[in-house]
Amino acid sequence: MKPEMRQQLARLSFEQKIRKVSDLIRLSRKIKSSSGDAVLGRLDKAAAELDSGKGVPLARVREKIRGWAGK
Amino acid sequence: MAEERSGIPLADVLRAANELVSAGLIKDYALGGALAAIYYTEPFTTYDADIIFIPTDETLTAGIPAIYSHLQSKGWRVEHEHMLIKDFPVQFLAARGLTEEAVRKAAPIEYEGVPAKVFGPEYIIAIAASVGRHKDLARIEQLISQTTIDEALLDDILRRYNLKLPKR
Repeated sequence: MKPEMRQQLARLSFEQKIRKVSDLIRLSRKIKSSSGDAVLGRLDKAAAELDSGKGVPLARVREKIRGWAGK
Repeated sequence: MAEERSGIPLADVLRAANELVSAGLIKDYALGGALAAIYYTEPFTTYDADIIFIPTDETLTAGIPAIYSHLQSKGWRVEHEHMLIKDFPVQFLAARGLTEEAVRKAAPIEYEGVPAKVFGPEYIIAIAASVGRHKDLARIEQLISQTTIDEALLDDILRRYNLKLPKR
């Protein structure tokens, strides 16, 4: 953001600034929850793949890694 | 109101702090931390409010238990080191040394008709210099570039508390 614009924001009344901070909080919560939804979506997809036999169960991965480490 | 809950209920916070003074639970207080900085700078994201108070109770607890139970009786909730009002976290911190001086010299303000006090920019800078995290250094930079600083006062505070500003 341009320094003049930042100076302009700094000159707002305290009430106006607090409203803007509240907007920022709401926005950041929205972003966090939507990225949280995306992670949950990926987990749901992975779980569905595992259930349908497409994925490799974590226990099997651990067994494999143990096997490779022993070599 | 759902929208209000996701905002900052600052007037409620300041009203409650004024009540603590009237009830004799604290001697005085001022708004500190990020919200105090925002009084002088552009708005930026912060997730709590810091109320710095001069305790009436000079024992080790600084009267915190009585303050908490008073606020809880008014509907505030405790969550870790914060008190929550309308889901917004507020930290009540006992002042001493530099922060006590900052409260005593704080500027009177009015927020949505509620009288309060806010740390002066020179004190916010000195406190940020004493803490020295990345966000504190950014706060110093912002204050210096966006508000008028009484340099003589700032130098005096820094000298008396043996603090130095980070090199720019």
